[in-house]
Amino acid sequence: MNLVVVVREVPDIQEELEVAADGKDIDRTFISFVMNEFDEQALEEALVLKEEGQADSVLVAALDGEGVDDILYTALAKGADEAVKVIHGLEPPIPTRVRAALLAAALKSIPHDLIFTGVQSAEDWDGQLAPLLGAALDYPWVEVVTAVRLEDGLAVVEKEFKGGLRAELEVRLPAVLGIQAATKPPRYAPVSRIRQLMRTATLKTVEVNEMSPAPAAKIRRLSRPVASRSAEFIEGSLDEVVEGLLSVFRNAGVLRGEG
Amino acid sequence: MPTDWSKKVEKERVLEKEVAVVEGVELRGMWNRMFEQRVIWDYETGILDQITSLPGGESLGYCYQCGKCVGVCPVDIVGNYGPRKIYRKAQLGTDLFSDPDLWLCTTCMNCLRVCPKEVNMVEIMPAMRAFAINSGRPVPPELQKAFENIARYGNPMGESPRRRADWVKTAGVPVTVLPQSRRPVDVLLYVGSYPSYHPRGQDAARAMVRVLDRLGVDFGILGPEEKEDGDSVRMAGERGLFEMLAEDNIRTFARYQFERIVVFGPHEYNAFVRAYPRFAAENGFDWSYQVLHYTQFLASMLDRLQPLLVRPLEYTVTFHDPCYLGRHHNEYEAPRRLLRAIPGLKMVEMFRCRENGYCCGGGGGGMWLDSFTSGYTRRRLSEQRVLEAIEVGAEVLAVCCPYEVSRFEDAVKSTGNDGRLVVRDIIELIAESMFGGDTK
Amino acid sequence: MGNLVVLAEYLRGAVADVTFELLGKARELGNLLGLSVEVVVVSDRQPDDVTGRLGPADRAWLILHPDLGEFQPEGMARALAAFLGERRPRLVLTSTTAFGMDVAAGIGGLLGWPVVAYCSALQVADRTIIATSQVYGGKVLVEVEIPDEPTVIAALPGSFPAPVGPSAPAAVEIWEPAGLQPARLRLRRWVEPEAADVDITRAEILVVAGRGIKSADNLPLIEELARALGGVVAASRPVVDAGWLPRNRQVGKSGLTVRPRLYLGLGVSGAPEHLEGMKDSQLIVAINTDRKAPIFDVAHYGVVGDIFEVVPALIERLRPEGH
Ligand SMILES: Cc1cc2nc3c(=O)[nH]c(=O)nc-3n(C[C@H](O)[C@H](O)[C@H](O)COP(=O)(O)OP(=O)(O)OC[C@H]3O[C@@H](n4cnc5c(N)ncnc54)[C@H](O)[C@@H]3O)c2cc1C
Ligand code: SF4
Ligand code: SF4
Repeated sequence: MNLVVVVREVPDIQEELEVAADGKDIDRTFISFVMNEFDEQALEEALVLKEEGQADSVLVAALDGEGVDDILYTALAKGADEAVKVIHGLEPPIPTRVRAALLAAALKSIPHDLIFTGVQSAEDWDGQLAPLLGAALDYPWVEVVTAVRLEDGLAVVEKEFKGGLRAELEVRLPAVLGIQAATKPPRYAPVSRIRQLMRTATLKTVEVNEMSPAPAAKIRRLSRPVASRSAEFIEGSLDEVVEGLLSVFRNAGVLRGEG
Repeated sequence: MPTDWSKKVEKERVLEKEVAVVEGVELRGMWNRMFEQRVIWDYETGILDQITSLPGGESLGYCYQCGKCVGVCPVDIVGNYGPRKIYRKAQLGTDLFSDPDLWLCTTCMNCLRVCPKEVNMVEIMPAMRAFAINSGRPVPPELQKAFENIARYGNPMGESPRRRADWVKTAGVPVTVLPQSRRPVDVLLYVGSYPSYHPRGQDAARAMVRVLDRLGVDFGILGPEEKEDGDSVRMAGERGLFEMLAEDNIRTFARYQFERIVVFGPHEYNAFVRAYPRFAAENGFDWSYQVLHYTQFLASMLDRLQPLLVRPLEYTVTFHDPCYLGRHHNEYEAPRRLLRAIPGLKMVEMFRCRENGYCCGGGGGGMWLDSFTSGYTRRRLSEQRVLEAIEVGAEVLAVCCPYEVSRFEDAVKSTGNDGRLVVRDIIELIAESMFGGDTK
Repeated sequence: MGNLVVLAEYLRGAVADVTFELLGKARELGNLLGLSVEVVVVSDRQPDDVTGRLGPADRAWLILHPDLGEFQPEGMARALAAFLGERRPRLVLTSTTAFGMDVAAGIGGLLGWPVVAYCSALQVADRTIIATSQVYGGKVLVEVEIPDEPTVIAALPGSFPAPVGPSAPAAVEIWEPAGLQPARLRLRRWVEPEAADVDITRAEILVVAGRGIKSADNLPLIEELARALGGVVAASRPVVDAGWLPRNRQVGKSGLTVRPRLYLGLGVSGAPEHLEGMKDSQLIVAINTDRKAPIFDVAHYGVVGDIFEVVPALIERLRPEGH
């Protein structure tokens, strides 16, 4: 049973993000990149399955991009068996659908029984990868997975709904799973191991050709929500305060089933 | 796991023999027992061997169970700990690499002070932790988060490195940020992560630059190029991360011109005085800086400082010796000289002070193990210390380690002593005496 | 140009609130653009219990297939793709929920239609439809122009007001997909959440108790508010230290890092160690008697007041009419 975990870099949202001069993308000059947090969950789940003997190997794959080498070495340090970098020659940002097409092409030369990836990423406003990849490969897919068990030719997964309700689904392999959370928190990769692997391990590469551009909605502009530095105070009588709070909740869409 | 004694003791060798002949003399009954070799290694030595074979772990094997260390171990005072107990657990076959005890030692060094056999936890613990981390044993989540933040952002809070010098804007005096002005300075002020980002640390940082400015010291800071020093990271067992930080900081320092380094924190002091020189020598870097803790630096110019301390502070103050300034580097006087220089201030000492000073719990990675450790102690070490300060009637608990202000202030609240005791960095008290006003 | 099609989030016999929100928005856009609104339900049987409750659509469709009874994300996406592919609607509206996430990008992938996920606003300007999507953890908004071809929109729940008093369409038309691939997915069972396994890092709404709640006796009040809001109770460290709540409810540096859609702090001062674990929450609201409490530096909205007055009043208002 070969597991492939598809990971990607995303801009580190801990850092200040600026909108680029043309307003069509974030400014990518000074930002740093980190592994998509949900991909970390996907990797952890795969590694746990391997340690439990449910799977034989874990291969991580990523489209080439800034910071991707670090991410792949970190994945190796955590225990992945192999790392593959998919060379494509495109400039960021790469639409998710193009990502799916490039990965589907690359996966032709990578043996796999089950593909894991993160349920979503910080910049996939044009659709999540798991369903797009499933559609591109003609595999079944499940998003928002919080547990995986492997049985003969099947993955038995739990998919989580609001309020903790879960559906236990069985999926025929090969399949694509969008992982929301691993059964345990992602493990630590000691820096010395990462640094040692950077000297000794090699990242495999697979080259794929450019895809014809996928249909997409056109970006008009990016903006940052106006953030007030300090709180806006809700004042007045008790009734007014309560009404004020309710309208804040309502505007944020967190008030359920009212009216 | 309890030891199965029957398997450990070779019975026939300790039993009395009816008759034994020793050098031609026939000995009977109990008299012969002392002449037979008796088994004294009644225990599984596997774990102990594993520990003592680690570079740095050797001295655990010297322990002869005298127990002197337990009485002085600050963790034992609020819990159940100490090298002797660690040794004992190893004897009984506990896998210490996966045991909570692995993370409780704060590397405060009080046990080494009293140990007749020089069992050195300051080396044993980092070695054991490094082994555990590198062999993939779980790291407590709080500590893992701190490691990851430090690796990525250069500070344990996960704040943006670009905002490391933001506190300067509200300092009220000009501060040279070396990467911007690129001029040679006399003093490189290495600020450290807590004074850079923690609001109460920033109070101390601002007080510091105002005092230095008033004294006419020509100083600069590294601003966004400064990174966590890595000493506590090393003590917590992340050797590789320490090396990465040391390399980065050494390279950064080399880009600027200054005569000496003044540090805010005892941990940074330990890093730059002890760990960096060794690392530099082993890895072919240059390191020949004069390094001073800020209390030492200011005490060295007390003749100029004293006349500026004009406002009497009528407080009863007690001073908490930071383990890494006191026991680790034998500096007990500089902070006290500064405090005594403040007019009006009345000093009282706590029962545990100086060489036997208590530990705030922040060392050796304890700063990032707050919840973890509190699960194995009756109260936090910082809480214990705050109670000790209150016991001697102090109104102000003076500190000179940036880890401590946040820890003790929190402990003042959590022990219900809000309003009875305030926590101040010595530099804040100096600034208060110099400029007036409450530095907070 | 086609119509506006809302995919009903129909699960275990109930239609989710978000479906009505989408219908309300579709109605509004439909009026502006002169398009009719259709709603689609996928099931394996005639769900009599929902057909009358599908809201203000002009037409209602039931996609009927024996394989599509229980939740079957991939199969549903394929059936929907077949249905929608024939009709080429102007917009397909679904949501960024556990249900919609499987279906929206799936349909987009199968049909090659553009997708806009995490959509929090939809407007029309000069007959162009503009969607706003929340990305980078809500730190950036992307405004996109919907092209002149069918586009799938997955909206964040709560982005649009639900119309009051949903009215029912006249009748439900049935569409049966032909030649649907044999199912590769099967639902084995539903697993109900256990009260014990609260995971505050995954809750969308956190009601956070600080030392200001004063004693464990007041915890039931906080829990009642959390229930009324559909959220979970978390805490600052002193509340956990006191043993009033377990360690896995602690927010902060030595606890857990949370990023809920709503963080409601009750008597939390906002110490740096606490802020470290919650400052990236999408909406931070704090109630504290001390106007200078640092929590107000990160909060979006604040109430300077006594939680023991505000919380009961809030619960009272959240109670369904007639208790
Ligand atoms: C190393 C370390 C790690 C730490 N880790 C964490 C952590 O992970 N998480 C964490 O939370 N803390 C942590 N702390 C503790 C932290 O420093 C604070 O002490 C703690 O967060 C304070 O909790 P609090 O806000 O509930 O209490 P307080 O600071 O005591 O605040 C109580 C607040 O309630 C308000 N209040 C009182 N009565 C009312 C009322 N009737 N109505 C409305 N408001 C009222 C008060 O004005 C006050 O602001 C850590 C500390 C250290 C040193
Ligand atoms: S170094 Fe300090 S904390 Fe560690 S065992 Fe020795 S006395 Fe205890
Ligand atoms: S003082 Fe030294 S020899 Fe004595 S018990 Fe402690 S570690 Fe062992």
